Amino acid sequence: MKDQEYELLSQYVDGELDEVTAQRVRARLDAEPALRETLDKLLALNARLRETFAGTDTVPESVAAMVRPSSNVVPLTRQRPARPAWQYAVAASLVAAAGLLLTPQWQTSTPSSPTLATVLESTPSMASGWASLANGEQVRPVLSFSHIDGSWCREYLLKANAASTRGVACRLDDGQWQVRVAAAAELPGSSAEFRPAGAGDADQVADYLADYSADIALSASEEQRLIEQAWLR
Amino acid sequence: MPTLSDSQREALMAELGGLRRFCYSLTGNNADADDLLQSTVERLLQKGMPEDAHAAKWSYRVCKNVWIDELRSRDVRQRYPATVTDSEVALSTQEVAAGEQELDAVAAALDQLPEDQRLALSLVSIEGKTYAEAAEILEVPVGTIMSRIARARKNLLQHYSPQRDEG
Repeated sequence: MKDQEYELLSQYVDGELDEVTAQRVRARLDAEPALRETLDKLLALNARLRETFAGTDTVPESVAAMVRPSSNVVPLTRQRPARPAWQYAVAASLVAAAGLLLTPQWQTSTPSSPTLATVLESTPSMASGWASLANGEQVRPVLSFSHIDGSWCREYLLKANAASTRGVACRLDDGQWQVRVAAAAELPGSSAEFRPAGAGDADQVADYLADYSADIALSASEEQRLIEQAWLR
Repeated sequence: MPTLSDSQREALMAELGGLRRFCYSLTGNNADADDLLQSTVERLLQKGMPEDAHAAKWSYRVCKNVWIDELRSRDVRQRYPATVTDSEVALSTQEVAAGEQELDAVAAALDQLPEDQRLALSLVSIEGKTYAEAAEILEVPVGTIMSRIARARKNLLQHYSPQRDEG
């Protein structure tokens, strides 16, 4: 098959021929089996290409959020699945921790005895793994975000013996970290499995994020910069 | 980011799915496709779009440019001769993350095409663009699109036989 014929058939497949030329191609196809065979291959190839790439148009939410008109941007809004009533009671009992000021990092801060405040102050958010605290508990900063009041806040996961807590603490002007919301978190069977707030547990934390975050969560590099400059704007 | 008006953002939103698919057809794997899409969107937001620009053509063109830049920098990194039409540039297959779905035979064959042919074929065959639209996106004459697509198909049929693979 000559290149010229590939070009003709290719244009025919793509509907790029004018009607007169297309007629002529159809007449030739009836008369020339080799041409017909190549056309069938080209058509099959085209169908196969479309089919192969049909499911690859899913846009990551992070990218869609960059494009979405600003008027429609709802920061950190998450789908909140319905949850059983008992979880409200559990969460309500734990939310008593809200407002608690953490022991300031400067009072305890030695690298060998980290506290929740020191970890929030200086440890980047992690998708897995834990930072050990001096009291034996383990903490994982999950994300950082800007509060609508202009302060910086961090969502964290705290693991103490069997119980786990998901919370948000915000940094006050004087540098102290204050717990704003804390709720029981179900850690899935394996603690390596990480899910952000809102994936079914600790809805109060997800609600807090939805209500008080000024923007989407900070990127790793933005967060790193803030840690380096001690959370100054 | 004030560089795009709300109506331009709306128009771009409508193109994102197609752009993601285009990215996938160029890179051959999900991780690189997401990266390419994000870089494309970043460049669009950074540089803006002329008031009268057609969002679809403009965004695909930016995507193509970002991809060619990426290929060039890969070439440099890998000390390849810097031509994007080098048919040996089948890099994305090396980068397919472990556990990611195996490339379909037709996608693997697509990966062997010279880049200019792959771009033209992706736009027309997969994205359903006309030759005229593809010509605007790739910034070449319509006749060039026509011959690139014909060569791409001829090449593909040498690497891959749709009949045998069907079913």
